[in-house]
Amino acid sequence: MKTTIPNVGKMLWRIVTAIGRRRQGGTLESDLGIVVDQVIADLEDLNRSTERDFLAVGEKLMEFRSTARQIASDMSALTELISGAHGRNASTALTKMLEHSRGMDAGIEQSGRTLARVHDHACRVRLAFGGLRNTVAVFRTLCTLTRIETARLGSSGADFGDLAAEVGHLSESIQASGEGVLEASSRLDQCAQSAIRSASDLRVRQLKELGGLIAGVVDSLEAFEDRRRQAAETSAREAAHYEALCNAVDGVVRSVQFHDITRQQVEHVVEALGQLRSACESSGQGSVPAGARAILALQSSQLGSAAELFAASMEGMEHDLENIGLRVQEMANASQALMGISMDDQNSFFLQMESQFTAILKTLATCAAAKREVESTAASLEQTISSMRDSVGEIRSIEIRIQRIATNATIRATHIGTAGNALNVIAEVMQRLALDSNASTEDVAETLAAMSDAAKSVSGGAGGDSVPNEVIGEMQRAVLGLHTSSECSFSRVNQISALGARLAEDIGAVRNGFSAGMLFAQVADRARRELARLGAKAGSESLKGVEDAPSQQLESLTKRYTMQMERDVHEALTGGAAMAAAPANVSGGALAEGDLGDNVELF
Amino acid sequence: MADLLARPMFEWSTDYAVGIGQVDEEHQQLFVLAEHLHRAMLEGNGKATLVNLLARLVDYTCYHFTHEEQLMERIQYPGYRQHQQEHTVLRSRVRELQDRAASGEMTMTIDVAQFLMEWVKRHIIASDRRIGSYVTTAESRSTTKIRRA
Repeated sequence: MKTTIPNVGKMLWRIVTAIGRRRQGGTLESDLGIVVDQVIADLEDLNRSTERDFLAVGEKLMEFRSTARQIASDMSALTELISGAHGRNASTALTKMLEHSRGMDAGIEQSGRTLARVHDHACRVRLAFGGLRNTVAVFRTLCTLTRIETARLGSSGADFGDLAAEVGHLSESIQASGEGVLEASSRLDQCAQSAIRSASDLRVRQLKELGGLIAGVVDSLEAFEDRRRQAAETSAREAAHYEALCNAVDGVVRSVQFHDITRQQVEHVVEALGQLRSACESSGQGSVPAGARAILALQSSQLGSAAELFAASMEGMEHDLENIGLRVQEMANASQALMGISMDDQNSFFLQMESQFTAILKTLATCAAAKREVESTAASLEQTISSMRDSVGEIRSIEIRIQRIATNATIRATHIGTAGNALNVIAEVMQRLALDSNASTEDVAETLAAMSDAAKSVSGGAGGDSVPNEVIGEMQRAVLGLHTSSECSFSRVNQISALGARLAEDIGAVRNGFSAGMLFAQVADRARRELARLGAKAGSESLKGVEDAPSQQLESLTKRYTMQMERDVHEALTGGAAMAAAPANVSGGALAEGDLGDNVELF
Repeated sequence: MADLLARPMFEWSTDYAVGIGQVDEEHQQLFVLAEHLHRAMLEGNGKATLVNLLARLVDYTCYHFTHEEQLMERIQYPGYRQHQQEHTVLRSRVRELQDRAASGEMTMTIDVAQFLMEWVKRHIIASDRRIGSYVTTAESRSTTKIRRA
């Protein structure tokens, strides 16, 4: 920037020197030199210091922006984790689990009904074999009668001696086997009753415990749905927040960039003052450049304008930083709220979910144990029924043998003739009794077949056909999968939240540690005071007519003077344009070249 | 800027320092354990690390709390009883968690992570810091006495 200092300064210098002498020792020249040097040094320091501060803030802002972007992208990832494919899989798994639970419940109910049928069958067996002792007693009586009649017949009844012994022995066998069947039936009934109780307990557990848990899972499903909705809403809100955050950061960046203007203004003032200093030195001893007052006033005005601009930028920055801090905190809070994390962390959504998962797994383990118990009962039922069927088979064969023996006895009694009538009657009764007994035995055999079917159905269907054994395993795996997804979300949410809190804290620290505004105001104010003091000294001499510029117009110009105007004036002058144009641009006032005097040539 | 997921969640910093060398070093080990769980959880391997982590945590409570209690006795810390009580609660909670894990309960990683966060927040930052402050105050008192003498 070119500066032309006219030679009117010598006079001013003399006046100033005189004033300085009056001020006991300090001359205007020495004052000007020292003060201007000091102001220049202060302003250069200020520029360096604010530059350093702003660079640091700018760097931090870029970090904030990048972190905010990272948080936003992680929020999206989290949303996807909760409500995207993962969330849908979770919902599907939970729905499937509910179906399985219902299937298990139906299967166990079916097992209970089947076991109740086994109990009915056991009763029927006992009823069918209830007359077995009587039958055996009758057989014994018939054997005794046979022995008596054989003895009465003497040698003609010799063939019947073995009959009594054989039937007696067989009837004992029937009794033994029959009692075995009855005993087994009783055991089987107890077993069935116990299995019914187990199945019933299981159902009660299913209905009460798992039922409650299923309700919890249903709630969780609904909560997932809710969260999915919330996640979508939060995402949209967060996108807006993020946009606002970026705008706020951009605002701060603009404010930082604005500092460049104030920096240039300060540089300009430094340059102008430097030139004034050089002019002062080059004009010779005791010489003060002409228009020094105007130069000082204009530079003071420049500094004032820079300080105002800087203060406004700083205010904007403070406001924007506060906004950023709030947004970041809101984002962190939103991510926590999304997961239902409250101040009381013990009641977070994640912990609730985890305890639900644990309870479901425990109940599933109980169900699996009960299922194994029912299956084991059913297996022992089958074993018992099988041994009962063996006994019944034995009874059946004995009854057939008794029938055959009785038939033979009837034939032989007929051969004896009238003497054998009694034996004939005994043999016929024996045959009828064996037939009746056989009818009961056949009934028991049929019942056992039905029992066997029922036992098989229980062992294969404690969970029903619709819920095979691996279903429980599948449910357990699904719960574990959901838990894994849940723990991953938990860690992410906490990470986002911690990062948000850290970011908000950093922003707060930046805000609190931001002293550039105050420093700028202090330095600019001090410099302006010094320049004004020098200007006043120079001004008092100008009252003697040294300077040409009318003081009122100069005051008016300095109040409205800006760097741009300064440039305009400077360009107008260096371009040789009529000075009359400049004041019109500057203030719309009626300043003419002559009015401005030599001062305008400074620029 | 590095990936968010690469940033540690449990990272010891001077913000957590109590000002006693050995205690701070041992606290850093707790942060390492907690961060290990956090990492595993993020990668979906939380349950696999649980049993081992709890075993290490039980060991940690044994030696770390013993060291702290010995220190408190040595310096005649006035809040010794209350602090020891907190240790008892933390020890029994760690045992309870270990028992649960030993019984086959696997879905408890969130509970454990939450517990570790609480431990850092409530015990280290609050209670352990008080020991550090007491030690610092006691040291400055004795320095003053020495100077006066």
